[in-house]
Amino acid sequence: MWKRLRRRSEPRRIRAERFGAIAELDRPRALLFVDRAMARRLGVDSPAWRGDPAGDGDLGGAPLGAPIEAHLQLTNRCDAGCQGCYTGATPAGSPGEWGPEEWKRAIDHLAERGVFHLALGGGESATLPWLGEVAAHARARGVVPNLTTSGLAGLERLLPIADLFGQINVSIDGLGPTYAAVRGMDGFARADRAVRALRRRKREIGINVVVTRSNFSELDEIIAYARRRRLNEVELLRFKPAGRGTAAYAQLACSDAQHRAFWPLVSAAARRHRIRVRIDCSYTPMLVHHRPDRRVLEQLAVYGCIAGDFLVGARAGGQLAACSFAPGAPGRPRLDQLGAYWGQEDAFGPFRAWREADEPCASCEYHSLCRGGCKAVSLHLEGDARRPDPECPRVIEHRRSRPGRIRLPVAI
Amino acid sequence: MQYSPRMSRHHVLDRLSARRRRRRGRVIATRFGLNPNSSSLGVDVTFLLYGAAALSLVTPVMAALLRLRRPTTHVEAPAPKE
Repeated sequence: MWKRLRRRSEPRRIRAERFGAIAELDRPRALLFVDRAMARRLGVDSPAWRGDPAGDGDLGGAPLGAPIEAHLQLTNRCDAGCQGCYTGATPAGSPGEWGPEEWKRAIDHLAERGVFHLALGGGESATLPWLGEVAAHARARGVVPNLTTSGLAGLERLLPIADLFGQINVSIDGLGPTYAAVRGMDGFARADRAVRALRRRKREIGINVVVTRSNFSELDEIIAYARRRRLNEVELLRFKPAGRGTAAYAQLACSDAQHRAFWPLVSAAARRHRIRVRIDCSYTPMLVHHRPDRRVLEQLAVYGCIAGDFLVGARAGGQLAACSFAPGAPGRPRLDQLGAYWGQEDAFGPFRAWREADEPCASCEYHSLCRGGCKAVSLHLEGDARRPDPECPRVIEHRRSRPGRIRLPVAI
Repeated sequence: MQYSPRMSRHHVLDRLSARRRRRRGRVIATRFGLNPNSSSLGVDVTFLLYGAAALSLVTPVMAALLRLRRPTTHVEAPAPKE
């Protein structure tokens, strides 16, 4: 038993970083950020550490040496036509989409850079006949592939290859009629069927819930649904103004009152239903508004916008972006050019410029964690991704106290 | 560390403990689970429900698991510019 525990807890990979190293554990599944002393005990010693004693343990002081995960939009083909689709997916997909060979080459490149995880999405990637081939290739290169699916198509193709993925989440944005209200099409029964079929096949199944004005009051029931289906997690995502979501943003985005009520509601529901809850990076302003213990946030690596740092995104044609909602990176690099692009001074433009913040972010005690909130929202509502997230409760209060400096939203 | 009679016993133990931590190293942060969401990075906030006390119990366990055996693959990512 001891031998089995040792084998299971064996770190799969470890990557040197300025602050020390990032080590990957299999059981429990986790990434551990360790300082240089512990990295040395694990056999890592980087020449970059010499002459930089201040960097020891300074996680967040500089961008990572490479992202920890990459979000790959394997295709932009999808028949569902959801009104808020952030990629604007269509049945025809995007021109110039990559095939399996291009994705496998890109995964080789990511593996060499030390990327730990992939989040595969679309469009609807489950319909791709080569999805299993790409996932198996990632596994062979030591990178863990994970998948989001709508559950609306491709289930028969997905079930036999489900074990290749570390975690699979099905998008469920509401129960019954609420699903249709959020998505603009009625697909709950099919998505629920996919959840049940996948759960019979595998334990690591969860749901992604895009939180909108329409389903906010139903969050407790949605979390209870996940518990009833014996899922292992619920991931709550803030609605973003990207793709078709740009036009639907005013109608679907949560109100300020809902944003303020988000964390108390979610934490109560997670306790009540005893299920693991994850929130996405864009919800950090709404979380820190309730002033949680800063040390706990640091120890859990809870950050706001970490696009172009902890994560990168790639479009169906391989175009590199800071995250899936961000415009293509300046210079139009492709995913397989990440290594050359990553270290450039101006890489990812405003997404790495969060340290030069305006008020009230500049004086916020959580700024080094929150990093100014969601830049996709700032870009849409303010016309400038460098501006503080205008839906952050602290930013709203700051602007209320200075009414002469209200900026009108810019629709783009 | 030189002992002085003016140091309290707790002070001596604290300094010894800090020196031991420096030598053994520490886990700065832990990200639990896998993120399947291909649009943004989700973080497990379950520990926020139970606070610093629960996390302070888990972190040494994670460090111990990490020390049990050395990693199989090392990757040297180039150090980024500040």
